[in-house]
Amino acid sequence: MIRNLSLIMLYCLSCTVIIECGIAFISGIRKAKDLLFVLLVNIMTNPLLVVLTVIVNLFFGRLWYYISLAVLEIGAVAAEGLVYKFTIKHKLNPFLLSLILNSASFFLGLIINRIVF
Amino acid sequence: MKKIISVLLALIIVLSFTFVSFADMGAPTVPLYYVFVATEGFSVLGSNASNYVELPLGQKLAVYDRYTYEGTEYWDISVELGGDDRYWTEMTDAQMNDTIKEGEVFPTYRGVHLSKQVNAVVTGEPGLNIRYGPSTYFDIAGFIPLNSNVTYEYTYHNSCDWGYVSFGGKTGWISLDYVEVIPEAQKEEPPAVGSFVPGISGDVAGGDFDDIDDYGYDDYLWESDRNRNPFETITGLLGPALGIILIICLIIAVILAITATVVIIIIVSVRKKRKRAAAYGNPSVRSITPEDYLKNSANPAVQQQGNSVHKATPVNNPQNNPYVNGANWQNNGGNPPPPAR
Repeated sequence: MIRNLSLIMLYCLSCTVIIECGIAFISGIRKAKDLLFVLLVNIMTNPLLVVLTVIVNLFFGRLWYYISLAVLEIGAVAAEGLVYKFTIKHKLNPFLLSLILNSASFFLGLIINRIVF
Repeated sequence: MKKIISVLLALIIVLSFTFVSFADMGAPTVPLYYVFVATEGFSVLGSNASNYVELPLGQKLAVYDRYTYEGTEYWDISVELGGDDRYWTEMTDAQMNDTIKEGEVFPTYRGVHLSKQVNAVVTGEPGLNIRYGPSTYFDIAGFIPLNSNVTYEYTYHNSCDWGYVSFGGKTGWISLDYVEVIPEAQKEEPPAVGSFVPGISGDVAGGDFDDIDDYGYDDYLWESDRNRNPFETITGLLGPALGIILIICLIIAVILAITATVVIIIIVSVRKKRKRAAAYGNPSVRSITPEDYLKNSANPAVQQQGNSVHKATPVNNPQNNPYVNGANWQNNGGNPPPPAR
């Protein structure tokens, strides 16, 4: 797994960006600039989250992996919500928007992983 | 500016992933760690074998990966059976745990490190037991008579120190309290008097101790075992190649996060600057000028005034701008004044 970690990071980031930009587009974010922010916040949070959870899984085992995943996902939702607050004008609360986008990418990612692997 | 930022960001992403991907390809295959068979009847079926091969107790297994597939944890292991025989196989977590007695003979992160081979003489009377694991809890696998020469390759540190040996066709663990290391220096020519011999003894930063201890190990290694920094811990756990890959990936993730944050901050600050400029009519920034304001006004009289102002007065010359000194505000048809300058 570690040998392919960079590819895993790229795969996770691509999937997340495609899903979140798609959901954001459907939810009414149509401006290219706003979609650029969706891309940027994912570049900001996703690779870090992937690497940190892999490290936790390696060093501390499965239980701590799930705990760290939950904590880091909440952190990512908060960070992305904060960015959306200052960048994107949307009818939804920015943190709710962030929660929806992240939940969608998380669960769709699980389904894709199940199908692909 | 936007184009430059986009190109830079794209370059960073593409280059970083390409770099690590190529680094992956060129990286030597390094096991995550080693375990040793501690249960009789443990068999493997390698990809190059058509039948199961039963492994002897104490057989070394190189663990290359642990992963989960459909809820079951698997181990990707390699077994060297001497010569060129090398079996690759996958075992479930349950099978491996049954095999290696986790907690007792699971010499992974906490103690075992690969080392050079160390030659020693058995000094314990009447001899020394070889055990299936690095503890007296394990059964005896063999016996090494007094004064026999042995070579051990790995160590395991718990309450005492254990070495992994192969002797008389038996493999297993011996207590290092009952062996005496044959120093390598004895095999070489004695150094000339007064000369400095690196690696034998000397002062090391942070403490004065011999480089080589009683068991033939560098004191520095022992010291680093106790006080490892994160880099050493990761590379110690995964092996140098995989550890470095993990660290590089972590660094890339941090760089990406910082870059994305900086880009977001830049875009937001530029946007804010423009908004402020629009509000205060900074002529250096494209924004709503008083002329635009007047031209876009709903009042036709004001619109006309705006047109005339546009024609008559250059905006960038405050002296000629009738809105700077406020003289014309009263003639503005009762409309609110344009943004203050």
